[in-house]
Amino acid sequence: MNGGAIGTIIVMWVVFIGAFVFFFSKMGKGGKWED
Amino acid sequence: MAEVGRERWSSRHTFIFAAIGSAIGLGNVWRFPYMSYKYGGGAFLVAWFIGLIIVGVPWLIMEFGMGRYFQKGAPGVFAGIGKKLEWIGWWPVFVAFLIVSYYCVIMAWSLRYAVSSVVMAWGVGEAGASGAGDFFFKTVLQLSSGPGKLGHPVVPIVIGLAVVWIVMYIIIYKGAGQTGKVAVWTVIIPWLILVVLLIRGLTLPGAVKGLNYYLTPNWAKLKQGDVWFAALSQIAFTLSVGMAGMFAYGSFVAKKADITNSAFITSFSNCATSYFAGFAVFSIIGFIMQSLNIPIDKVSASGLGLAFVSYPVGISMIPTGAPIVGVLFFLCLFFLGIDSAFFLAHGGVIAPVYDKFGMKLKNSTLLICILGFLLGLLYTTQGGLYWLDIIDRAVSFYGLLITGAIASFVVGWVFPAKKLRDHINETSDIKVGAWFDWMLKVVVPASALFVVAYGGFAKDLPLKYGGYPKWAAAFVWITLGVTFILSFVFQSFKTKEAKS
Repeated sequence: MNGGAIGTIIVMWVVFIGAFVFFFSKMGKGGKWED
Repeated sequence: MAEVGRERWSSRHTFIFAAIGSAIGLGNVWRFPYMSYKYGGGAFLVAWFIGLIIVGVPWLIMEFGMGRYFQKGAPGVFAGIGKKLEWIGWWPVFVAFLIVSYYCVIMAWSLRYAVSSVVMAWGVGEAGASGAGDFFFKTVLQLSSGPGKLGHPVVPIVIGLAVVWIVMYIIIYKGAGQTGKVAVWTVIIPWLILVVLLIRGLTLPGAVKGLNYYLTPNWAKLKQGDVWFAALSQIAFTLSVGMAGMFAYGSFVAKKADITNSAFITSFSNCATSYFAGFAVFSIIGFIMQSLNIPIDKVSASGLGLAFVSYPVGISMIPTGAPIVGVLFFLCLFFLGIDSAFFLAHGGVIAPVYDKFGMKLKNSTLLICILGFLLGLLYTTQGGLYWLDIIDRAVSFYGLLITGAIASFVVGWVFPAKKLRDHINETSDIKVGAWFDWMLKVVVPASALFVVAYGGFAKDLPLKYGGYPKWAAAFVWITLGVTFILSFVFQSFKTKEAKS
C-alpha cells in the first residue's frame, strides 16, 4: 500500500475515533444512552 | 403543542439507531466508495467532511428540531409556520413515496440474489465472471429493449417485492417504539457483515491495489468544481434529509430530549459506515482487476453495476467460500436497505398522512404499504429498470435537492433559524452558535441548488437524460411537476382538526 493511502487511513481513524469520543463524552443533558 | 398519544421512541439509543439506519443505505456501499476513487481519494474525503459540517449536519439538525418543535411530520411543520406553506412539507412526502416504491424493488433483487448465491446461479470461476452481466439483465430482470416496452412483471421479483412490503408492514404498524428496536438490529447486522466481507476481501490477492485506488489522495482535484459537486451531492444524498422522514423522526423525540448531539452521532456514524464499506468494495475490485488482468476502468465500480454485476464477478472468482460471501453480501444490501425503506414509508409518508387525515397508524400503514407495492409493480416489469432510473433522477436527485433547499430557506428566514436554535439549545448536549443560522439561511439552500444546477440542469437540459427517447426522458420533468401540483392539492384538503 502506498504512503498516501496509509496516511488517509490513519487520519480518518483519528478523526472518527476523536469525534465519537467527544460526542459520547457530551451525552447527559439531553438524556443518557438508555433513557 | 405536544400531541397526546403521539408515537415515541422507547429510548434515546433507539432513536439514534433508527436515524442511523435511515441514513445508511445502499448508497453507502455503491456510491460513496466510487466517488472517493473518482474524485481524488483522500482529497475527496476532505471536501466530503467540509460538506458534512456545513451542509449535512445543519440540515439534519433542522429537520429533527422542527419535527420536535411542532410534534408533526413535514407538512404539519410547514403548516405550523404558515398555513399557505404546508405544500413545502407535502412535496418531499411524494418524493419519499416514489423513492420507497422502487427502493423496495432493489431490495427484492437483493433477496433474489441472496437465494441465487447459495448455488452460485451465475456460475463459478471465469464462466461466472463472464456470465454475471447476462444473469442480471437477462435472467433476473429479463430486460426489454427500452422504456417503451414494459413487457410483463417478472414473477420472482414480484414475490420478493411482496415479501419486502409484508416485512415493512410488520415493522411499522406498531409505531416508533417498535421501529426503533428493529433498527438496532438492522444497523448492527450489516455492520457485522461488512466486517466479515472486509476480512475476506483483504485476504484476496490484489486487494491492496484496489485500496490504493480508493484512498490515495490527489490534492490537485480539490481545485476542480467536480469534486465539490461530488462531495456536496454525496452528503445531501447520504443523510436521508430532504425526504420528509427526518421531520417525523424528530417529532417522535420527547420534548426534553437532545437534538444536536444525536444529529452529530447519526451523521458521523453514517459517514464512518460509508468509509468502512469502501474497504469491502475496493478490496474486491482490486481482486477482480488482478484475477481478470483488467484495468479499473473496465470494472463497474458504482451503482447497480457494482452490486449486481461486478460484485458477483468477484464472488465467482473467490477460490473458497464464494457462496457464503455472496449470501452475506446480498443480505447486507437487504439489511442496509430495509431501515431506509421503513424510514421513507413511516416517517416520510405514513406519519404525514395520519397527521393530516387522522387515520389510525395501523390503517395508514396498511394503505401506504399496499399503494407502495402496487406502484412498485411497474419496476418489476421487463422495462422496469429504465423507469426506475428515470423516476430516481426525478425524485432522488431533483426532488430531494429542490424541496430540501426550499425547506431550509423557509425555516432559516421565515420561522426563523434563531428561534429553532434557541429551541434545540434548551435541551441539547451540544449548543449550536449563530453559525447555524447562516448555514440554514444561505449555505444549505445554495449548496443544494448548486448541485441541481451543476450536476442536473447543466447536463439534462441540453441532452436527453440517460439517452432515453425524448418522451421517456420528459418523465423526469413530468414527475417533478405532478408531485409539485399534488403538494398543493394535499394542502387544500381539510385536516382532522379543521373537520372536528
